[in-house]
Amino acid sequence: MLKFIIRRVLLMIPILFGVSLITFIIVRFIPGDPVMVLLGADRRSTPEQIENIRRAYGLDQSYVVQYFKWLQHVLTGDLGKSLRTGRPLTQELGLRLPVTAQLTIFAAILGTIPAVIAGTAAAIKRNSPLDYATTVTSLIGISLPNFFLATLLVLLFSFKLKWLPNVGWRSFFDDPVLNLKLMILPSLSLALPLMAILMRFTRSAVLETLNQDYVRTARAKGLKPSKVVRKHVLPNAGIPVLTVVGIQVASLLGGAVIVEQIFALPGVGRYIYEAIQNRDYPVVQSVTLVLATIFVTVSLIVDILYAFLDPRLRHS
Amino acid sequence: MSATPAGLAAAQTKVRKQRTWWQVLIKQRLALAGLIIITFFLLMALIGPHFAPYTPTEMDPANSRQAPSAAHWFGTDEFGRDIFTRLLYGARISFQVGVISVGIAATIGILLGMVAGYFGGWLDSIISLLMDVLFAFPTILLAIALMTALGDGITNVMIAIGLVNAPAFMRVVRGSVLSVRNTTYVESAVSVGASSSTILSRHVFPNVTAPLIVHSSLNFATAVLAEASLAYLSLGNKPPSPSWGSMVSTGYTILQIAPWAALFPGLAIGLTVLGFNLLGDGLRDALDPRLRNQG
Repeated sequence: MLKFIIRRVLLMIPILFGVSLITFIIVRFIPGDPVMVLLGADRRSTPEQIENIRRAYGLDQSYVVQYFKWLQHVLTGDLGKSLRTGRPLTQELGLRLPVTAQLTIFAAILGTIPAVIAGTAAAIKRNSPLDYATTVTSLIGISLPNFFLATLLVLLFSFKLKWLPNVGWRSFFDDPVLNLKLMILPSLSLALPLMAILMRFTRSAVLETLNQDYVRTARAKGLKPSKVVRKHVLPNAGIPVLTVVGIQVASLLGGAVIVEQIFALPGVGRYIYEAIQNRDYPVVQSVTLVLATIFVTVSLIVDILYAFLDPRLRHS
Repeated sequence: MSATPAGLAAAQTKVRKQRTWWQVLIKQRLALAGLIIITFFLLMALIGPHFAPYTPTEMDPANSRQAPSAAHWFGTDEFGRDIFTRLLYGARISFQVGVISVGIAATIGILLGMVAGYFGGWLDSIISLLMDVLFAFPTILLAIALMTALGDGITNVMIAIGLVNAPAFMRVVRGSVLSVRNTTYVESAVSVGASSSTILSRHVFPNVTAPLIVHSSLNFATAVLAEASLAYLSLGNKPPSPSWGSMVSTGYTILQIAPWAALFPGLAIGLTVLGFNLLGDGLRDALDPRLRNQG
């Protein structure tokens, strides 16, 4: 078990190294000079001024030097500064990560709970109308793009019913009620596809467990059906469901670009998207690396948890 | 050695298997519904534009934001363009991107996945690491970054989506190869001195096709969604291109006055993706005997 954990932790190093390298390469391939983007409309700058800026940000050095300097800084906890605003990225992330985190947590709660309940019920009452309804709902959920879901939600709740605002963000600490109102639609746009995936997965995980010998044994010895489900089915089906929840939620952190864009939320996804548009090299590189680190860490935790919860793996 | 009997046996199983999985597929109403939806949109993409009542980019300011009517079945957008016509042309974009990007992803995935799964060792370690690295990226961000680096144009959309989806194919192929690598028939092929390329193409690849077909159908759905998402962000197929994603995005700005401008293209995306998901699910149940008797 310990050996497994150590191996998985060590594997993170080459993965993150690979992520940093690929991000760095893609970013340098983006056409357009970051300094010119930085100067914007002010094209009157003299060549010396441009050269000075380039030197100040280390953009005059070779790519190899730039890469290793960046890596060295990141490893010491210095993510660098935005080319555009000059603000340190750690500070910028401190403002934006909480927005995305709130969005992700809301979406995870709104998506997971109904999914697990409906998925389990569908598997137990297989081929019932409830089962078909669950299957159809989840198929629709995985087929609609989140921006279209957002469109439908805004049309219904903002324009027709006028219950909820359709754009903007307010800090929870400034105005908790408005913050929650503004977060409902974006969270739902992310929660519905998540719910669809988890519903399918829970259903098939529970179905598979129901076919196991130990469930038949439990039934044969006269255990009440509800107790069979609670004691034997759910704990076993729950483990794979948990891993899928972990991976899906972790991928929401960076995958909320479009939803953050539609609802004008100052989150991380939108931040990187704008940075790519502005050729803001340090932002794209460092924030992508941060997101990848979060993702890899979550999948590591999920893997360890899986091994820990499953006695067969725990002892092997 | 005994190429003929082996080939004959393979052919026989193939025929028998094919009949069964088709039967299962037809039995499944959902999969059939998927096939019908796909056929409908494919026809729309192939011949639809010839019957289009208007041109996709022709602006008609006098008739902007018209509600659906006999003249404009699905209404008109902000610039008076006929939404029905644009949907027909948009179907073409979705299918082109779907076919080519799935082709790119499958080709890369098959090559790397077979090599990694069959040869193992350091080759497998390196390919698997590359796969893990690509999985660590948020998919949509990787696609956005690739699109920005490659520049606009439908070809680059296909390349970007193909590259982003390749690791998933690699995983499917590698897994299937691993499951047959130690079987006796591969072992016997090795022992009679068959070359690696023969074993891979004659004995290993046929075992990969079933999961590959299933994954291709599901991945087509992913690719259509990815194209729509990129177009929604004005990457690749920029306005005035009649890409469905781009239509939802421009329609969103007039959602309150003319909701049809965003609703119809959004439904088109949803239905097409649903079709491929239904077909993929049905194929999986039909091709995977273990799941055949489950719901």
